[in-house]
Amino acid sequence: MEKMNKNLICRISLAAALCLCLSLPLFAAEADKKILRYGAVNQKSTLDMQLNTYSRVMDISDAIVEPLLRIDEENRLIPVLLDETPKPSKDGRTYRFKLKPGIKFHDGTTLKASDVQYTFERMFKPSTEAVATYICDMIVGAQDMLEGNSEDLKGFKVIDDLTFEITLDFPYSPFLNAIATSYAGIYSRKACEAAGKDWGLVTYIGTGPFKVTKMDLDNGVVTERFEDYHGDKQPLDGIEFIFIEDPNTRRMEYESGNIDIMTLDAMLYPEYSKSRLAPEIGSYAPIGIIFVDPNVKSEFLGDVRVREAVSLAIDRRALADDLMKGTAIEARSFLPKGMVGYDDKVAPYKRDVERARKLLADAGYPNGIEVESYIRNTAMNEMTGRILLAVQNQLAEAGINIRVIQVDPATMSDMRSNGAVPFEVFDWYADFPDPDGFLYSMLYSVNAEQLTSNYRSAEFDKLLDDARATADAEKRAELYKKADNMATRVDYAAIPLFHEKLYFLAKPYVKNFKMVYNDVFHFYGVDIDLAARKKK
Amino acid sequence: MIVYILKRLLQTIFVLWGASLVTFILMNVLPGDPVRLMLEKRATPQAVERIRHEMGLDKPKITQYLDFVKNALKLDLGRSYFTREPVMTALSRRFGVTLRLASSAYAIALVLGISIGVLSALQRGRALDSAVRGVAVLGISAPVFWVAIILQMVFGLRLGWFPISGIRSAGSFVLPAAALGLRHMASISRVTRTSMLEVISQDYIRTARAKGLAENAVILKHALKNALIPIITLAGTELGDLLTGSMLTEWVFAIPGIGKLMVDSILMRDLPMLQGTVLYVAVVFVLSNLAVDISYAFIDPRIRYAKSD
Repeated sequence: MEKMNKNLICRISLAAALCLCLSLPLFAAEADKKILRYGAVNQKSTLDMQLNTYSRVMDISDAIVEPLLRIDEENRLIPVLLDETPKPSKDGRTYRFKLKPGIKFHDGTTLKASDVQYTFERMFKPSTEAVATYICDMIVGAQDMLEGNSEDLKGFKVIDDLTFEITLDFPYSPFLNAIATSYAGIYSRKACEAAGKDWGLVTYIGTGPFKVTKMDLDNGVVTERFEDYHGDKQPLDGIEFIFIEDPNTRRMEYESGNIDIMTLDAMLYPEYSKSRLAPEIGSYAPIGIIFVDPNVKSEFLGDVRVREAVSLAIDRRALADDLMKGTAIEARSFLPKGMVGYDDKVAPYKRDVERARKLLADAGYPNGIEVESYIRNTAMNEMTGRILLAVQNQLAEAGINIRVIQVDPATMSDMRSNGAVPFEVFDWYADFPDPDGFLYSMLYSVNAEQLTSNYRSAEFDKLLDDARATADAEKRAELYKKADNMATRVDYAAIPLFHEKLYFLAKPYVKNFKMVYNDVFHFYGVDIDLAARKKK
Repeated sequence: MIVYILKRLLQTIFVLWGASLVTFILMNVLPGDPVRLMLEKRATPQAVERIRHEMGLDKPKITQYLDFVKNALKLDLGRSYFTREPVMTALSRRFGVTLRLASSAYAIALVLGISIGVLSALQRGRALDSAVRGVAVLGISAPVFWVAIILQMVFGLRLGWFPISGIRSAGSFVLPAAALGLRHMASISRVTRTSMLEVISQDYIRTARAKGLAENAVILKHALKNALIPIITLAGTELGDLLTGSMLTEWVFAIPGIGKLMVDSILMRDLPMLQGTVLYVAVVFVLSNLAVDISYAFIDPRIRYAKSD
């Protein structure tokens, strides 16, 4: 019996050793190249930016495909595929564009005006199922195409191979900003048509500084420098976008040196800022707002006095300093500081619980109210959940009791559009640095109806309509100032909380990395100090 | 036996049809519009209607289901609402990953589980038996994500022996397979121990020893073979379980397998992808159960499948 056991132990040990040997790692020798490894969240989406709106997909797409212009760190428009930034015609409706000659796509073909025309027409064709058409659906003929009444974009005129004109339905002053977003990246007609439904899944080429060498939408995308790039030669040999969804795993990969750069949850900033990783933390302030979105058609919040009471009962300073540990800036308006239309003279919100209680009593609720708030049950929504709980505690002091209910993402979006969410904490990051990307996208009646607020004010809509069609910068700023005040301090259709700061971790050997106005990681000009990396 | 196998395979068609129908009904009963989710905060009513039309979601439900069945018979399960990728392509790619993970985990679970179970039974009441039983309880009760994180921290981050995540090398499967396999190993070892204890107290084992057979032969040829039926039953379901993916292990180790694909498609109301994954799960379970039933006949000659079966 004892002999038998010894034999068995030997066999078990051998079997275990065999199991381990079979699965021993086959570590690949790391090439001596400047490859940046970016630990990214997988949005499980095509890279085709006409079909999605995810910032984390833009991180990848923007390295490969370029729009006509882009917006730099100081919110200036920089011509990318153009000779220069075009000026609008006298009536503000027509722009003439001139492409830089000799720009190559990754497949070696040359960029022509007809490629730009194809890109815009593809966006408006119903069969494309594009999701961000709203950024430039004021081009003449866009609405006709979207409704399936036309195959041609009448407002797009090709003059010659390098020249084209775009005419708008009305003078929309942020138009160039709008087409400087990832949604308007220019595609090669030939490659895109040849790829068909595989565009963005199997094939994705552009004129950008990096070209795809491995497209794996489960594990990541590998790119290498495009040697025929029309702009400055990029210092990096390539970028590896490595998909790791779990933030803990991402952090471990970063700590072990397997990735060079990653996003960092703002909630973890205080802990990390005291760790040895502190010098590697970078921050940026995307143009965005965290706000309470009250449903103006719901039972209690339909009364403006109740909405004002909510605003009065919130301590924004405490949210910014205590909850966000000083990583946020308390909001004074919907538009953030520095944005056209931001009112420097507006006073900070003051918390006044007594007045909030009185307003509730005046509205007929002396014993307080109970309001439901819904939140999506996804890991990405963890921070919104914490903000909601902090707001819930503050409002309870004024007799406004929030009952938090978790639902799955699909149910949440359905409830929102059916007007069934009475109260929500919402975040919004502008597509481009212009107040139109805030106030129009969130609170203009047609758009607000699809969200929680259901806000509908003819006066507010008129202010935005006028502002959209006004070229005069001062007049425009004044109109947005008025609109912001009306929504946040008269109608309380949106209750601003704070403007968020976001964080990332980058190894010290990653050089020249800068963030722009939005939450998109761009790698133009980024370099790697190879000697420092090897030393690490 | 062949008739029995053919009958079981025929039943599979009805199982698949039932699974697809139930999934379709459930996904249509639950609140949540995939188009609105797809368009997120930028959904205008016109855009929603336009895309619903393009995706065929404005057709009557029965037409949508019949279209699905018709295409499924041609092995076309449609395209994902979100990635726009063909479901079959996504499934076959993810299956490859899940198969590699599942087979590694299964090897660990079977080899270690049966060996430890046998040892534990032979050492009944001794220190080794207590230790094995303790490990088994821990293996069953410890949450898989906790085990996964501990393995990552110790063997990935601190010791640097294995990759922390991803599937960039063969070694990438070591930690996830261990995390997943340990749990199944614990169940198999417990069942093996119980089954072995029952068998080794039987008269025929005593007779075998009395005949002077070597202990190895007594245990492996007579005892273990007779103890295998409950182990195989469990191992069959465990195989089905492993092949249908493990959401938590896949999440923690950034492994793009079937489990994650299924959970994502539920959360996103990605009906074509969900239909595909449900059909896959049904096929795996039907086939693994069939394999278990067939293996009974090989292990125990007394079991035969009559025509009436």
